[in-house]
Amino acid sequence: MQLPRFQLELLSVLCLALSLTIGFPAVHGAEPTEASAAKQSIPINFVRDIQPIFKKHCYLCHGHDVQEGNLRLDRREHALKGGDSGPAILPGKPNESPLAILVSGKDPDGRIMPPPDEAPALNSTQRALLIRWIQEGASWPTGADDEELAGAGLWSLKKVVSSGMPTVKNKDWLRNPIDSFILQRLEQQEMLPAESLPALALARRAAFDLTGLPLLLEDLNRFEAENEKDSERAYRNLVDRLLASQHYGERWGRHWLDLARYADSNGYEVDGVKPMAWKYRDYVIRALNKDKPYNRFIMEQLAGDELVDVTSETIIATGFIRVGPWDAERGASVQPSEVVEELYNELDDQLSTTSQVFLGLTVGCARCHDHKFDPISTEDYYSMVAIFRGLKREHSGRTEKTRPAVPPRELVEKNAADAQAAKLIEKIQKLGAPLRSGILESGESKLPEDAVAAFGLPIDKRSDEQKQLVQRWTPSLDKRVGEFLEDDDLAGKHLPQEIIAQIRLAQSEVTELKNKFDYPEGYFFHEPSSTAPLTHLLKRGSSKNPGKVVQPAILLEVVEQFGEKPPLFEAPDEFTSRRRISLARWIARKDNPLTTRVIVNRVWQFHFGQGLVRTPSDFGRRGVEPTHPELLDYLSDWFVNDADWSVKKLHRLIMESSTYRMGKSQNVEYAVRDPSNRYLWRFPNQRLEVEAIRDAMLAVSGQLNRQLYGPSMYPKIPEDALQSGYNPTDVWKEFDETDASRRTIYAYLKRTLVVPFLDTLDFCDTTTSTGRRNITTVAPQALELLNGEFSNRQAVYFADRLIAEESQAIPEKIHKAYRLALGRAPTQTESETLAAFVDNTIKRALAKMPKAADANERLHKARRKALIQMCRILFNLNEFVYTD
Amino acid sequence: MTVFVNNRTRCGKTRREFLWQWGGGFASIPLVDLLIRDGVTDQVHAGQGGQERQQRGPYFAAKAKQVVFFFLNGGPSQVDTFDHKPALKKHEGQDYHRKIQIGSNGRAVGKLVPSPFPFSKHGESGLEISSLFPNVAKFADDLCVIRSMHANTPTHSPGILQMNSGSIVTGKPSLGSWLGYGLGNLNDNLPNYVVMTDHRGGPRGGAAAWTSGYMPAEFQGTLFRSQGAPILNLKNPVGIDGGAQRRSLDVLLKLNKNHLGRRGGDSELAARIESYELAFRMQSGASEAVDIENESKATQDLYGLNREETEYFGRQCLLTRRLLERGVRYVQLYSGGGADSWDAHDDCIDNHGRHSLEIDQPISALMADLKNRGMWEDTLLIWGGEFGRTPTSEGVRKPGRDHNHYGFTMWLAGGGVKGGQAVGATDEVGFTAVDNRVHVSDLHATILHLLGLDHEKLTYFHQGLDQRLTGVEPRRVVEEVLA
Repeated sequence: MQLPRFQLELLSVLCLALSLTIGFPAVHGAEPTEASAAKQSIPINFVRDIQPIFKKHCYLCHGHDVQEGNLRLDRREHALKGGDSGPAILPGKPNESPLAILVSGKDPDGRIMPPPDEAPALNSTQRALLIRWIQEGASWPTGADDEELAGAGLWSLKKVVSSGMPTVKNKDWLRNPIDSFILQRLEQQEMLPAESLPALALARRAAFDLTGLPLLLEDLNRFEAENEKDSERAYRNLVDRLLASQHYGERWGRHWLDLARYADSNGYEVDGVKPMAWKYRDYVIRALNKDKPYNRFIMEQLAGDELVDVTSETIIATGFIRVGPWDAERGASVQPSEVVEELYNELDDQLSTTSQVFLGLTVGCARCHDHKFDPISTEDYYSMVAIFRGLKREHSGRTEKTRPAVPPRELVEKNAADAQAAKLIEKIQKLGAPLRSGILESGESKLPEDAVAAFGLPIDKRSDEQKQLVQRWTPSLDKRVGEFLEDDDLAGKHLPQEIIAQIRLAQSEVTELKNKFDYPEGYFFHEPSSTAPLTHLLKRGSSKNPGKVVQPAILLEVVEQFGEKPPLFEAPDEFTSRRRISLARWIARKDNPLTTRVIVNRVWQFHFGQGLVRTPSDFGRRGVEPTHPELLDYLSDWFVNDADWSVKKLHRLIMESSTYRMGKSQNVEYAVRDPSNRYLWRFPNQRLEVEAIRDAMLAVSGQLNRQLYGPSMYPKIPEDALQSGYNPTDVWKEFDETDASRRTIYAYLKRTLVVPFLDTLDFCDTTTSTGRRNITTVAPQALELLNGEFSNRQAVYFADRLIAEESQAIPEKIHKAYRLALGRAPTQTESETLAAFVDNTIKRALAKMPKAADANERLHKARRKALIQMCRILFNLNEFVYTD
Repeated sequence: MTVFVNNRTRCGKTRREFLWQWGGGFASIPLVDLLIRDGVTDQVHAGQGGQERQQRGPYFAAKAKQVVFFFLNGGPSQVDTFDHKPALKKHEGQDYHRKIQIGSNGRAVGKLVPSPFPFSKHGESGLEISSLFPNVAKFADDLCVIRSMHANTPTHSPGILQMNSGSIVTGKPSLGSWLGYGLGNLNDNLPNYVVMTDHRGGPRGGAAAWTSGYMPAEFQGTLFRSQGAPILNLKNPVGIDGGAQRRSLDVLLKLNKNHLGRRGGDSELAARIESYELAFRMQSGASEAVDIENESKATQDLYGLNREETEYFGRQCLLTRRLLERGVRYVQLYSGGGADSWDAHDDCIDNHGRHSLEIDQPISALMADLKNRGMWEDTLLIWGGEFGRTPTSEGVRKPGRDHNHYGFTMWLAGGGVKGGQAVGATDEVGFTAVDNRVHVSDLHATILHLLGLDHEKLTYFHQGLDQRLTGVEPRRVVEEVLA
């Protein structure tokens, strides 16, 4: 809508203005505070301080749509050049700059900007800011123009367009549409795709890719046999078997947990346990194993408690929101200011994680000021904060609590049942009181005398010591009473039969109630009320500086660029505010181009080591554009329309392609022309993740405990590493080797004490969402794998496994070891090299041993020692940690 | 256009040399790509040819090359150490006049109480130092005492995070990581960033204090023990002597080279091969570094190794000098840990008396030693905790002081620092910084400056932002500190 405009022909300058006149209401958020303007030491920031003034007060006449006097202030180039009357801004010279003169009302002709009937007047702070900005040189960073910042043309916000198949010359190479897109670009560059991998190497890559484990020998044998007959079918069958394996969820679940910044403890000083957080971890593994459609996966994690078909499982899924860090010392402080500040940090974690993981947007940047590059305002940020504002953390002081995962509709019934059960229990206690005291008095309780005496006293007469005794022995006494009640004769000594019958009836009623409303406990937030507390926009991100109240909303400008109206938020129902489900619905829509592109890109990245978009959690301006935009869109469209959000179908499509089957051979010429392999002329080379390395060592040594799910296990941590902790003695559970030989995804993740083996080998940061791990190659990793306790222990098991083989010939053992560790037979050179090493090591060992010992025994010991050293070498091979 | 100025070594050579030496085949692969893959440079920027990459330091002539941070874990009291407040005598038993909140879970803030430790003037500068640090006081003319420090939280763990990483929120890289990222390594055989904790335990929040946060793990602090094997996995496994280790490595090298050959070369694989050779050198290098038995008896005595109370910290200080000599960039020493830190709520006399006794002699020994060996000008020394303490007492009959982030003291000394002066001031009783206030992030900006780094230019791109050690708020280099 355009207001009638007063033509100011003489003033072909900027419309900025004076405010002698009417006081206009202050702008929220964007407006700099008096304090910040007054402080000369703080340099002016164009985006933060100046642009909002232009936006609100000048664009109407000097913006994108209208340019009075040919002056526009939304673009750097034009603004600095000026309009019909020449430059409006003379950097460093506020006294000569028409803009400064006009807004300060110092124009000799009495003109002021903005004209009072056109736009709100500037206040004194704003005028001061503009003058200072010009004084300081009128800095206007490139890339900060309004339309650039507004994301006009941001590729990721455009609709997904599935274009036709590109035509290519070498049609023989094509196995599916992916190949057409890849080959087209290669052919344009006159590049050839790398040769495809031999069958066994491909099998090893596929196995690590999908399950994070090497193939079992029987699976390897089976694949080889099938491969003899029909290699295409053998590979397809292998991929199917791997996708059906329960280990698939453990591998891909871990990728998701990186994104979800999952850990079992809170971090910070207290670093308390997140009780049963592992249930969320298990939910993720199960969801992937079941191939839960991705849109449903989104809905459950963000709003599983608000779904029509809510179950305990979908409630536990919302653990996604709660597994971030929590500074318990501040969150449970007696000082309200500390609690509030911590709360906003938590909300920031929740919405930053959500927006990065699902949308690839760094909304967190807008906490203190409008996003400098993406179309996300501070108001957007706090509108999203409002979405999570109603959630409550169950805790008692610094200790966190679980909750039963009860669907809200059943909660009322459950509460009623709990109350009923409590009454029944009270009744049971009352009726059974004579039995209890009888057992105590008669000595049948088998409790120590001092405890019996303590129980005999009224509560207020008990000393502190006696109170402790009572507390300590109550379970034993209760158990004893229970035993008596089961036996007519025993109970009959202290109670009449009719009372016994009454007690038993009440007991069965309690059991029935408990069974009927038996819900698993879990770790998740809940909304205690359908009315969420008010959310204020916080000026400059400070909770001490609350601004206006904002309503829940979704990124207004992003939505606008989708070409849509802001989605409506559902009305609260009797249980929750229904804000999260409104957000989740919007994210999980088929035609949300961010959601689909982001997930397809993630899956691609976890196969290839790098995504088509190489900033997997930033699809904004600071991220990079896709290397193959058409392929990305093809896959996004295919994923929702053909594959019905099935991630497993996407794996199949990718792994079927010739692109996926390329080898990793270096090509010097291509490496010079395309050093970062943007065109995918070979399969990117990337070291296996630490989980895959550790799990492979366990699998190869024969120690892997394949038990799925359940509470976390505690890998052995060297004593020295524990010493660095604040509380060295009480942080880690005793080593239980069988349990600790489970897959690495089950390792307890303590935020202040990450298992050194994981830490050294580039485990992800546990405090924020990780879209792609850092991969480093440094000496401490070599020390860990060469000298570390874990790898040496596994080397011993591996050697013993080889020793247990029937044939004692060293070459056969080497052969077996290679099959297990690398999924192939050794070459002749490899076999000879290792055989010579083993032989040499045996000789040296024998020379050092006392002669007196039994000859066979000596030889056995020497051979074992040599094989252990050989196995240690195999674990350290490049080929062990890099698939071909 | 950016030049990659980092001379961080890769596997014993600079990355550049390393690539050159790794054989004609792919020597000409642009450096940037290899750095991207190593996570060294930022994939985002490098991925887009035209975009500007971050400039990394040094940006101007550095005053110091190496840093030692004596971290007095728990928070030392300023009015009992380096911030003399005679007015406390006058106001003894009175309430502090400003309404102020301390985050100590509802404990009474208590009444003002003077320091039980007498102060006296030292050196030509006449800097006032209490009786807790008689040996450090001999270096009064070298100390730049900042009496107007302030921080954001009165809580230990976020306070420790802030002093180390600039942020009270976990997950940000610490100062040592920024130095490694900005300046690279000075040595091949030792970690660049070493942390030594107190024998009673680490600081609250543990390793978060020396994390590299969102930066790659290679920039994080390495825990060093002052006795036995200094770092994890440094010793050969049982049953493997030096010869056996070498023979195993030779076989490994041969097999890995075959594999590399089959691939037609690959920088990552080649780098990993070299990392084993570096590891092997590190095994002897690090062991040699911690072998302080070679130090003369006189030197050992100077550091207090001959006295029970100073032996532990003395050993760490002596080790620190050896590490500095061998090119370690940043050494952080924690005094106090576990349940026995400088957190003197109940009794400052006992607590500060004991802890200062443990560190006074060793710190002064290190200072003297650095001067004697011509290392003083290259080394920046930092002394302080996550915050200070109140001039009021919550102790019963004894002065026990609460946490205080409104005003506290730290000191700097060594390369580039103007000694013999106090910068800034707290109010009359030492509670709140009032004059020339220095925020923790201002201190960080100053430290970076002394190392030749500009805190506004040293950035790391993460989650959509060019992150800085000093955060988004405007911060300043405290000019008065500079020599």
